[in-house]
Amino acid sequence: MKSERSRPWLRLYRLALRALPPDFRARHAGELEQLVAERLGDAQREAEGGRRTAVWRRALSEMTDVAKVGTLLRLEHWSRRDSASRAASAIAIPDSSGGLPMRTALRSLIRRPAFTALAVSTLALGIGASTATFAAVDAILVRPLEHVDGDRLVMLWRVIPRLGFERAPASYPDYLDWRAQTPALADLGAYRGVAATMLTDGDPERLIGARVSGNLFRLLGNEAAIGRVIVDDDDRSATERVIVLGEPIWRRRFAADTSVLGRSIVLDDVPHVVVGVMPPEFVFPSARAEFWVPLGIDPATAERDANFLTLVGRLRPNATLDLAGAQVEAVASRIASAYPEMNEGYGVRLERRHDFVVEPVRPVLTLVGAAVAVLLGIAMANLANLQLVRGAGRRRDSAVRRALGATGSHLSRARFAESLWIAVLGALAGIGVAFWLTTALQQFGPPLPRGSEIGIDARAVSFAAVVALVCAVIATTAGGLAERSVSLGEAIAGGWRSSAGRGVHRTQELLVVAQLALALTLFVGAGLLGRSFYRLATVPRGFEGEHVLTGRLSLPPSRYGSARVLGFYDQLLERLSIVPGAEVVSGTWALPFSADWASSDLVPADRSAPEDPPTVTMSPVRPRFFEAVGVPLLAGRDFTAADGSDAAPVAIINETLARRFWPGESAVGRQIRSADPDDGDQPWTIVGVVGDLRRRGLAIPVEPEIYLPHAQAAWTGDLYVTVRVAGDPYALAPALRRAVAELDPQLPVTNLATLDELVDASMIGPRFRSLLVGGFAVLAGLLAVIGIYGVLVFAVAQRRREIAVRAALGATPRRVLTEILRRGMRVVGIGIALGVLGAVAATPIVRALLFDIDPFDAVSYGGGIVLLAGVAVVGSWIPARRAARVDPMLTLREEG
Amino acid sequence: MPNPTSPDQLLPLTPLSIAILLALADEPRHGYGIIKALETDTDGAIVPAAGTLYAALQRMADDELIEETGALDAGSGDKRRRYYALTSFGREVARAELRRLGRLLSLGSARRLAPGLRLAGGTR
Repeated sequence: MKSERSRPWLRLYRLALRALPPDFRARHAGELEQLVAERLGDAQREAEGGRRTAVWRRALSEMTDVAKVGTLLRLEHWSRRDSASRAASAIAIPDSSGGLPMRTALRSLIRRPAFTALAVSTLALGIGASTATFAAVDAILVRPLEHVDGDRLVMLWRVIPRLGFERAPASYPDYLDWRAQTPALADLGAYRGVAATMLTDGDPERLIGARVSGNLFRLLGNEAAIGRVIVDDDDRSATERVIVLGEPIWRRRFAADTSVLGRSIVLDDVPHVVVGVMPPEFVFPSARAEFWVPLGIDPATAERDANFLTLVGRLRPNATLDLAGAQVEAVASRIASAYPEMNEGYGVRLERRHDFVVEPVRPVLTLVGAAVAVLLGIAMANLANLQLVRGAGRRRDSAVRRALGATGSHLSRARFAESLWIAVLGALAGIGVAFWLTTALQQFGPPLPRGSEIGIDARAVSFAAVVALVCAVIATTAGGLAERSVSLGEAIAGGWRSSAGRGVHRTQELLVVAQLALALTLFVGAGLLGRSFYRLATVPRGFEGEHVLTGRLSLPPSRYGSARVLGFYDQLLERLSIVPGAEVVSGTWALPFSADWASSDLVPADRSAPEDPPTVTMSPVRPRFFEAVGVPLLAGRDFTAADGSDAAPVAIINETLARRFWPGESAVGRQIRSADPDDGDQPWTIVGVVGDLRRRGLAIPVEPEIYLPHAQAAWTGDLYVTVRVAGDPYALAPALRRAVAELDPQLPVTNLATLDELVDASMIGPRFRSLLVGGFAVLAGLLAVIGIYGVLVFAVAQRRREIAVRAALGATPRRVLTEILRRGMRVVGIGIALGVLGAVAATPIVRALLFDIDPFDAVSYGGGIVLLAGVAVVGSWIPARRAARVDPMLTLREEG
Repeated sequence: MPNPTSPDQLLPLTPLSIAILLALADEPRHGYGIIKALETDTDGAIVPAAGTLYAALQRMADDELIEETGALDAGSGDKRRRYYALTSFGREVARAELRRLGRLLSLGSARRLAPGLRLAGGTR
């Protein structure tokens, strides 16, 4: 029976038996083997009888049979793993053994493209806006500065309460004392911002940089990209001056050439050897700094009352800010008692560097964060609402499934799978939106500290994922609420079409009320900021800057004494005045809306100094300056060439100062002097009064000002050239450069701009804020329309039968329309009431950002309410029309 | 597995199932015996491969149509042979199925679809 031929086949068959499920195999394998052996024996005999192929045919068919039976048994086994799942599989809930029915959910979403698109885009907007904001807030506020262990860096300032200075620089000797006597600080470094003219092969260029103590780079923990950073020895060495370049200038002026190391470049007429280039992410002390040179202070000659150093330190690993603060105060009081005349009335302030960098933008980021939170809230409410509608639509289906044995967990798994898809799609689209928003923020937004570090990175993406997940959970809960709110009997009896939806409808209405309230909060905020921006843009500036070209010149003191400074500018302005198109050529040391200004406490010369002399802004100006920038001369005369350094000191004051000192009288001919009697200056005789102008910002009130003739007050070699030009101001720029180059080829013209452009630049922040909140308000309005539309469409669909009965009984379409609208308006009314409360609650956030607008401005509130009501009518109109068009016959027959 | 109260609930049986029931009608058999009986009974029309046979035997045992009887004829010397026998429920089901088939057959004759066939005895 067991012939030689069948043996290998049997062995193969034994292998094939593995296709069978284990329990079946364990039970029958022996019998099967035996049977097959017998069958092969039969086949063997057949083969001997003439059919040669009988054995392997038999073996082959036995093996394919085992494979087939094995597969079928396994399938059967799997499909009835437990009896409960039999019922579930009968009503098409696949994979009910514990996983999520993701494929079914996807199919279900694809079958409802409108719902899916609405839900995904709603979520994408919310997630996009919040992720972009997260990226900004994360880069600016949260992530420690890009220095090694950046959160241990601190700033050390002197505080001078008498002058209102919260952050004043320190002197070199003070710095050394603090550095030596503060054990809680691992190290303390010093720096000062500087500007210098760099000469290389091309045009001379004015650069911003910093002089730094030799330990500063080590303290910050930053390394050079190529070459080295500045070290202690550089500070001591007097023989060779070194310079470290920033990445931007290295790229711009040296074509990112590594051979720049060792080259000598001329900085303010002094040769410096390039020893290193910093990586692009090194931003210190500000984003504008492009070079670093040693501090270069001789400790032997440094004076204790020359306060110009900013101090940055690093806390020791286990030292607290409070401990270090106490120690620096102890040092400060020792200094104060040792040098009472120089340190009287001073305090100290130790703060985290992070707080110092971030403080100026905190209000804006708070605003943006609040706006985003509101928008996200609206988006979530919308999503929940959509799910409610969807859930209500699914009720009959789910009630039937439940009746057939599907458990609550099956249904909520199905719902969750759907929400998860929406969340995933919404998050992906949202990340796209966020990417677009951050790019837009960097291009069109205000210059933010560390703005270049904002980007959609892994953290931002995980933030988006978390938000999406939260949304999915909320949406699932909402959907479940709707589905569960109906009993089986009601659903089967058709109740899902009528009264059973009342609970759901109430929830929906609550959500829409929340949406409308949040939207109104944004509307009011946008109105306030927009009106504030408008006020700011239209505030009288006091000058006409559209056709005024300005450019800054800075004569290096090494080559220009004060006499040569005046000669240079006399020559330059004379040359410019003959350029065609140049109508009025002049200049000033302190241009409005530039960073330069000086001030002094002044009093009328014929009175003794009062308790509180006004601080007056001082600006040296060239003759015809007021004519050039369009400031009206109200009394007296302008400066002339005759008001030279040898002539009697004269001055022109602005209207505000004139009114302050001589109200109702003429100021011309009076004299004015410094409030400090020790100041040896002669009093100035006032020769003219000019109109007020805004100097340091449109939102900053006009200050008392005094103008001095540049010829009598050439304090430094700096001057802003101001040229009133007929036509395009920039047409004159080449002529200006040429004229400067003819006089001094090594002198750069910087800050080339029109006066209006400087003013516009000062408004970037307010413009950005109002545009941002305005944009959010538009989105919020859009989402609110969708929300109220969804609710009413649902309500109308639910009440079709009722409406049809009424129509059949004689209600006019107009009546039906008004009734649905009224229903919508009730929700709107509550939304508006709550929204006003929300806007009032948000007052502290916007108050600081408003200019000349009451935070409870009636126009903004009224406008917001009207707009919201309008939006609500738009959202209600279509469903109301649909209700009005219900055909009673058709409807009643359909649903009868 | 549930034991259906009425034999009718298992009807119609698959051709293999009824053939197996018939093969076991007069005596218990082991696998090879069933195959041999089927070969003879059906003239080679229904001769399942081993796997299919045992899958069917398992299912029928689950449905309590047949039962294992152990080594019935130990005298034959075959060790560990598993014999299957008809249960009384199996016998009932077989009868029910045959009645069903009989009705079909008489219907076929009446409609002249099976003219050559004459039933040995009427069902009623």
